Amino acid sequence: MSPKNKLDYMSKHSKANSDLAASNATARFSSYFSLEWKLVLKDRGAILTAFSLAVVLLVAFWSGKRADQSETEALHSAAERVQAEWESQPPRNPHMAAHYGILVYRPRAPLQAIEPGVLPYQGAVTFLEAHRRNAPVLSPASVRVAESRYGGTRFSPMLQVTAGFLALVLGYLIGAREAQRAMLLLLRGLGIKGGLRIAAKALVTGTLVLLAAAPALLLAAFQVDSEDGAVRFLALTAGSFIHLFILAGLGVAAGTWLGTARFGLATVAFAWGMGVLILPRIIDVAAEQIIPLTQREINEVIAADFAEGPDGHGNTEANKVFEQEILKQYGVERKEDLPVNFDALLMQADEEHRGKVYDLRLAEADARRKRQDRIRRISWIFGPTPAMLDLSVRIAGADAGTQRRFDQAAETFRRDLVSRLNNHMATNSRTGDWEWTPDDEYYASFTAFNPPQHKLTDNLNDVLPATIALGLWGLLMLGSLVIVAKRFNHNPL
Amino acid sequence: MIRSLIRLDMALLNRSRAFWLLLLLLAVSAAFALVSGLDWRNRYVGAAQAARVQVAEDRALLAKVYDDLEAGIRTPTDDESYDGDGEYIPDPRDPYVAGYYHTQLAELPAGSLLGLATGSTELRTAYHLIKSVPIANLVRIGEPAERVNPGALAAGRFDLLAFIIYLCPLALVILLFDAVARELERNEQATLLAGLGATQRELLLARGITRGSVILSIALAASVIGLAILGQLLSMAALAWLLGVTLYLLFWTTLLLGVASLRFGVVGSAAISVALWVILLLVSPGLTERGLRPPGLLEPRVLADAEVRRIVREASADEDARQAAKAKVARDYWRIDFAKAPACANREGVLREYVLRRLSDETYAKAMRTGRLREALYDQRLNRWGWLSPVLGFSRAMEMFAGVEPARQRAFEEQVFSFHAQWRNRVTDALFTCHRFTRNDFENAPQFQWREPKNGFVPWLTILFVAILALLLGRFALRLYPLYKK
Repeated sequence: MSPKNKLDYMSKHSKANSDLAASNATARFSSYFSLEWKLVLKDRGAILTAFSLAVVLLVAFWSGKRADQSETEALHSAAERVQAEWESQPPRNPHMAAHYGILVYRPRAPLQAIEPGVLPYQGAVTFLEAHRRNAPVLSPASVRVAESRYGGTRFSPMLQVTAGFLALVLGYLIGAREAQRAMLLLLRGLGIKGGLRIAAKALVTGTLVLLAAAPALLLAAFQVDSEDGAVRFLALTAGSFIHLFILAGLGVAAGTWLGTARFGLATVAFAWGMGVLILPRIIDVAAEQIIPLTQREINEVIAADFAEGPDGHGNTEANKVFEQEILKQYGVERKEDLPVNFDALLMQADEEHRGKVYDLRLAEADARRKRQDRIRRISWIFGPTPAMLDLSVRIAGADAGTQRRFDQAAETFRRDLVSRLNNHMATNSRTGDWEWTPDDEYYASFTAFNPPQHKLTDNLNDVLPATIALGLWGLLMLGSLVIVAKRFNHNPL
Repeated sequence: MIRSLIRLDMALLNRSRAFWLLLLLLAVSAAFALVSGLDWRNRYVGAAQAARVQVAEDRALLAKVYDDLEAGIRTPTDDESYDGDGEYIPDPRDPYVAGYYHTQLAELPAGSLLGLATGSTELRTAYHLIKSVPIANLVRIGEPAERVNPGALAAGRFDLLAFIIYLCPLALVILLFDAVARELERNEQATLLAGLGATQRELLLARGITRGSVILSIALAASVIGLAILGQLLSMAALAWLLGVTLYLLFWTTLLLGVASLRFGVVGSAAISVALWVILLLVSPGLTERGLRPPGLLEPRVLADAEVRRIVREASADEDARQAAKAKVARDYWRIDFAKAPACANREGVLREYVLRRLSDETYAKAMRTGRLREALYDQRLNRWGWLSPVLGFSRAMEMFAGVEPARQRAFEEQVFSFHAQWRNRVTDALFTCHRFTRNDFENAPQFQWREPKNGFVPWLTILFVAILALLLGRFALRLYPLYKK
């Protein structure tokens, strides 16, 4: 800043201060805001940064929308074709049909185009068959290059990470402006107070970043296609606004405080990098070490439990017990004398036993996973962005809970399907008759997999922890602004 | 003079507590990156090891059955009359039964430097159990995942490559953004140094050498430790890794020196340096990758099962369809004329099943091959245009050196399909020649042999590109910088 500009700047500050000395705080704040806004508009670097951010977010939105359409169409088309094949399958014994199985495909998350969350890294297709609860396979990310999981290419992660970082840095530079130009003493000499001036800086920084995000957000708003989607979008937008304002405020506070420090900005940038990119991943690994959990271990426990119950295709003690129960129930001596198909009843008993084992063991695994997730929340201490990223995927309905619900819905569908097939076989054929087939139209009577759509309001508890964390960061930001304002007012320069 | 300036800068850094704190944080992060990466390698190797044990146990059971059959201790169960009562004793000599019971393991060995880089290894299976059942059944069930927390999986693993790619440049930004600008702005040392006969160019160079070397030393030290733990210190992959790390950090050093030489002042330099870090590391890799991704990458794999089901339905609709399908498979794939084959080759019930299996396999393999071709096309595009994002190009090259790139996993899938076909054909050939698998056949059955694909020159060209970029930027930085007269 040239001496002339510096004088001009000082006179504006002085004028704003003296003209409004007798006015209320709102008017003074408005004056400071206006001044800071003009200064930002004159800063070509800041404007260029905001413009670049707007372009990047628009590109992220557009490319995310394209990728989402392509994946959604592929899964939808496959689901329709597989269902049609199921309905038109040739005459087949019901238990053979249960082994032939069916595939179900994960439905689209409400805001998948702008926030795919964990879903690209989770299987999108589950093969449903008799006796087994298979895990979903074919994650969309598995056929790609491991795209930058650190920055994220979809709109919302980019908004939180990239725009968040720029809000922090811009806030720092705007907050440190006077300190770095050795003008603080002059401002103090003019009787300017810190509180409103610093608040105005924070608001200007946040507003600048939000304006950069606005075009992409507006375009995204037009893509929302349901009432629940609209609620989620509004919540995500509100959360993002708060997050960006928090980072802008923290940046301004850091800039005001560390403006003259040798490694001030560098320290803030490094702390952000550690807090957003590195520490969450270190904590992830630590959580996995503290509470180990792998699918292999789960499968081993499940396999051991299976051996203790009826086995539809084996020969276990439990089978004999079950046979005796059935014979007693029907008052006959031999399976062949039963009025129902014993094989089908045994298959169903096998299914029910396995179902109980799956429920028990997967609930245990889920509890361990939740404990891991609680440890993962430690990363929220190191910055508001990890909490916001968590909140973003939960609001968008693209979190691990969504995947679990898909998995659970698929399992419920599988059990209904297999149970219906077994019972149909049990009541319409006789023991040992594996050649029996139902009517031609029988398989067409099964409805397609259509899991219930969960609304944001159904899972409010899921978003609560991250919301509270974000709120605490908001309070911390306000507190830090108050402290630096007091420091400006009272501390010797 | 340069040597004196380097010593002076070292002395300055030595007295800075912030510098030592940064160094400590970097060292701790590098240690965590190593621990995290090596933990993943152990899990990966452990999963395959567990599968090996499982297959060995299954084979031992089958060997026992062979022994018992030969000794006449047990009699195999007759498949035709077995009604589920009593123990089922498989006859592994019968090719049809062997198709279910002979199991082989197809395993993708850990890449030589898996542990330093994770790549896509968390997203695809490391092994498949191979039987003579439809390949779709083997693939779509999937194998146990070693990482089951979706949040952690989506976030990606913090390994040494992530440390080098993301954290080292951030540390360089911190150390270099004001390499010279602060001196100019505050006139702290510039006059003094000019009085001593140092030029600004020499000062810039000395700062670059000192601070770049500090970060490079940490990255190289962590790499050497990691390579030593993996026992790969003297391998070609290790040389490539170390060279890649050096050139990548040289690129960042010269880039940031270039920013310093633009004389934007401390704030301007800081803003541009940080913006470059964000653009090059957080924005451009993802957007370049997304921009080059061909449409319909997932479709062939998603639609493969639907297509298999259509083929199976059509081939088993009625008896005429079954006979037509059998004739087609006999003519196109089996190359057998049942009219001339021995009667024992024409086991109607068995062949009925194998006709459907073969049609299913051919359809599924074709769909998956289409998927792999699209992914290969994607790789080609990335090879050709990946330089648009130097960091993306660099990370792909390092993943190739480490043996954790998607192309290697695709090659594994291709070899699994090929081995499964070989395994299935072995069963059908035995069926058609009325051959029964002896103990010797069982023991000497073909094993899956992993053939490492060649990466060619792509990763080396990428590294060369990074080197050229670094040299150009260095030259730009030094030429641009105004000279002080001595």
